[in-house]
Amino acid sequence: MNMVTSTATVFTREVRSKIRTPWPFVESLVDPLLLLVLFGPLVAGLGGVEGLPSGDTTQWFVPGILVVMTFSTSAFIGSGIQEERQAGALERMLVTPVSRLAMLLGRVLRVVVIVAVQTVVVMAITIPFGLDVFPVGFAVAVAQLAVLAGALGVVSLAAGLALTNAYAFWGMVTIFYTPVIVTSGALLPMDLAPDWLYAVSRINPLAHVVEAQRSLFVGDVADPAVALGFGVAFAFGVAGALIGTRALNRVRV
Amino acid sequence: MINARNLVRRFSLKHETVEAVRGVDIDVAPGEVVAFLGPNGAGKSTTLRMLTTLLPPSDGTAIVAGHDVRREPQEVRKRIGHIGQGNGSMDGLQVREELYTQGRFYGLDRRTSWARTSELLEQLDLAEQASRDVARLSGGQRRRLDVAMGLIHRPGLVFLDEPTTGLDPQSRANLLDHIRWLREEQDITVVLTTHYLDEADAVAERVIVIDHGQIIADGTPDQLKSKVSGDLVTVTLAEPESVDAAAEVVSRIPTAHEIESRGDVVRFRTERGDAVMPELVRALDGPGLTLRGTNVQRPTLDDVFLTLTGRSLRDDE
Ligand SMILES: Nc1ncnc2c1ncn2[C@@H]1O[C@H](COP(=O)(O)OP(=O)(O)OP(=O)(O)O)[C@@H](O)[C@H]1O
Ligand SMILES: [Mg+2]
Repeated sequence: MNMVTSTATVFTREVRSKIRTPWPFVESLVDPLLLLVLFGPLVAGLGGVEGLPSGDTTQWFVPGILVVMTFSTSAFIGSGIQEERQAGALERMLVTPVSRLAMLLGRVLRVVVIVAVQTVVVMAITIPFGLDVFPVGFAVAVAQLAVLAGALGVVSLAAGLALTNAYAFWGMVTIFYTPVIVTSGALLPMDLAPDWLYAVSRINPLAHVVEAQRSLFVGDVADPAVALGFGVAFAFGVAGALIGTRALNRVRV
Repeated sequence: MINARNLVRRFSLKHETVEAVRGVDIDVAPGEVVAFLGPNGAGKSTTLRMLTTLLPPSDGTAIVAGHDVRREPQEVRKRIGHIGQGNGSMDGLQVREELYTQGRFYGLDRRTSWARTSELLEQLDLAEQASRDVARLSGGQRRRLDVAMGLIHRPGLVFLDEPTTGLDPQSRANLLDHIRWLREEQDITVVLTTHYLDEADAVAERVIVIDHGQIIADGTPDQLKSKVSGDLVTVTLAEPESVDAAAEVVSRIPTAHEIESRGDVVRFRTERGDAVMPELVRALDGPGLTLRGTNVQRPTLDDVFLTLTGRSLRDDE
């Protein structure tokens, strides 16, 4: 079986296993909307602070929370593969000749699709609240978030495979969650940060995507930040795929 | 079907190296049903995992279904089925979806995979549960689904790791019937692991006893049992007072040994217990001892394990 069919088979199985319960979707949609409703007004209240647009902050804030949403939808899927390993389902797939990379890609593809759909939904919901529409910029923004979802998903799977138990996985998530979200600049501008914190944000792939998204949300597709955001997300994803496939080849089920 | 030489598997833990399998040679011919028997931690699963390409051996070679597990794992995977110790299915999916997906993983085209799915659901008595969520299956049904997943691509060789663990007696008997069916009607070579002696006895033509990562015995159940010195004969007397007299009669049988009397029962071992019995009954009749019952038990594999290792298999459970 070739790569495409294998990946599609893994993807279909993933989707089917989750589609009968709406909770994962509710959970990942409610979070960004709550941020919009509860945190958005606070940001708007900051007015012309350095790094924020003076006036309406919707165009600045929405891309940030979309990146947060992408993170929380895709960064935890490694725990799912841990559960399957625990139960024995992973072992049963590993004895089939199906490609190891396809096993990762099929799983990742599910979150890529979900993130793309959710992004469009959040955009549609916020338009009535004053979001200006830039069709080309928005289309590229959806594509970029999909790439980011894939990259985060594959890294999460690699971590789920490399770490032998659920405690280690959730421990890692706890260690990374706050620094990643804060230094991404998604919620407050990194221009406010002291130098050391700003330096930390430069090694956070999410920070580069947040900046790219903000350019895209004002229709500035040609901004170099956009290309940088794509490049960083891609590189991150390729590294994750390499580590993940290696881990799947040596996984001790 | 299987030719393994000097298979070794070590695991490095933080402070020590565990030698889980210490140089086993295994040859299985097409059509055999072989049981690996051994206590917890003996190395059964580890051996199986090396033979099924899930774990690379630390040393040694294994040719399985015509291909080297190390050099051509893909070729081996295409030709074997493996039913692991855990649950192969994932909650949230329907029985038929899991089975169909497994067929696709083995490269069956859509139509073949659906056809095989229906066929196997029928054969493993799961047709009624076809659209049920696997999380809602009983233990026995779930195990049968695992077996079906291992058979979807019509492998010539199937491995089952503790297929009946955790099942109630009825589901267990049912699953054992299905394992016999594999051999008898599907012409599949079967390798299974088990803790249960009666199970190995019931389905396997050959038993390989593994202990501490090594093979300590290999043969048909009868060959292994002949290692134990004789059958166990139990004589139950009508009156407990006559036990000593009966034991005295038994001790005069030349082949009787390990004579034990307790309550109203006399027990001893002897070659050919069935042949000794008529003679014994006559001898007990002489002094007018009344019998309530007799029983001749062939040695069990538990007796074999005890003879080979000095430990009972059950000690570890
Ligand atoms: N991944 C691993 N890492 C470290 N040690 C392991 C690993 N897998 C197995 N072992 C050790 O190797 C030995 C053999 O284990 P194995 O699972 O093969 O036993 P088993 O005969 O299948 O036992 P059981 O009947 O309990 O399933 C045990 O001591 C076990 O602790
Ligand atoms: Mg085991």
